[in-house]
Amino acid sequence: MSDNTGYLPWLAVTVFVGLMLSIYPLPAHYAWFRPEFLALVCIFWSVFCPYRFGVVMAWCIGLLQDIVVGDVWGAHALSLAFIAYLCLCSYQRLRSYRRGQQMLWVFVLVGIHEVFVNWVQGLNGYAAPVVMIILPTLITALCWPLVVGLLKPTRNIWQG
Amino acid sequence: MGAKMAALFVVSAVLVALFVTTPFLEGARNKAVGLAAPLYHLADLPHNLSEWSRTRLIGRDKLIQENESLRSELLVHQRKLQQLAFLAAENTRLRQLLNSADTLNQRVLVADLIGVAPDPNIHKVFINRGTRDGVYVGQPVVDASGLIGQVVNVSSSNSSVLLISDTSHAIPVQINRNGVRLIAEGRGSVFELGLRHVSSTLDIQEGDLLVSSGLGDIYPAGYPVATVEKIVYDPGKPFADVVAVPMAQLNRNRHVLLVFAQSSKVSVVTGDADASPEVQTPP
Repeated sequence: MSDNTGYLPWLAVTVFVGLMLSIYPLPAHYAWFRPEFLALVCIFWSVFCPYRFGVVMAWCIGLLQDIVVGDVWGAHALSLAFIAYLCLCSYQRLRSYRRGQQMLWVFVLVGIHEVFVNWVQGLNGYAAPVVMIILPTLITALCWPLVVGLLKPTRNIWQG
Repeated sequence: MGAKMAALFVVSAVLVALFVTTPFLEGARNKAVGLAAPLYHLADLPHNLSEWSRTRLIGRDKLIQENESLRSELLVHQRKLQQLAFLAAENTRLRQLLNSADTLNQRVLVADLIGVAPDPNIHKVFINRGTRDGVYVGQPVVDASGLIGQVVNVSSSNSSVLLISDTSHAIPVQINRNGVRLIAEGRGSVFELGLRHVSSTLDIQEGDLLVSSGLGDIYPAGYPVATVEKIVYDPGKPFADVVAVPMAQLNRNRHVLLVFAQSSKVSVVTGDADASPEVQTPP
């Protein structure tokens, strides 16, 4: 099987679900704990499907998130493209790691993502306290096995 | 891939700069509110379903009980309304004595909340009214107990509302007791506002009601905004730190009211020759 017909619809589904999870209404206190699902989706695709998923796609996903969420346009776009770039540079190493080590990597990547987005938000007059950057990063990293566990078994759909 | 990344970086930088420093993207942002609305509707579906089942699958006894309590509540409010009619009439008479325009008649429109901005830093909500219903940017939004915020982006049938608790928001207020004017700014928490530049000699007490003063031309005067909760005088600082609690329930509303503030500004007509004519600024 060498066609990639399953790839784009499946990518769209994961992005849609990730987007829904990132705007699902949460009470004000719990909103701080919301994991960055779209970042996880981007990391997943760039690690496990690096020959099709690229930085431009990650950028578009980030822009979609910016537009829907109402943040500064370009903030999530650039940071998702950047972490996709880092993953694409090192996907072979990342794949060979154990889950725990991968989680550590994801923690660092999502940390970069959070810091960058917060910095851009800061330009617009919003700044989050530092604890509130670390907390969602930690929770996002803990969600990594879940995302891999859910998406990896589907790979005969999208992998040639 | 490195070249692509560099190009994306440049594009993003331009986009961010346009977004933050210029109003160039304002039109696109207004459209985006409309485009995002269906997603927020969808994300809200579980809540809507539970709400639906809560209103449909309800016992008869409970309905009767609720009906009775609502009826008694209505009675209480009607009694208050009688008094209000008298007060409004009196107010009109007094205003006539002062030769000033009557400002109390404002049309309102009920709107449903369809979503809340997911970023906890950004205090914005999305409502299901837009330019089609006459909503405009800068329109004040209130709930049953106080001011909520103002409309910042409008699409044809949806709009986003910036809450008074947002860190980029400030509202001119007055202490209801003595009329002292202050500025209440958002602090990024829906449960508190901060008051700016409160000198230690200012007459302000815990429990004071702050109402909108109508200065700034966005909010109409007289809507309750917050009550003063805590005043901390620090001798080392020039101003006291005052925390006020918003009257409106910023985080638990499903319905809000859009106020159509009169476009004509309140101007006191006096016989003074040197009174400069008021400049009208459309909102």
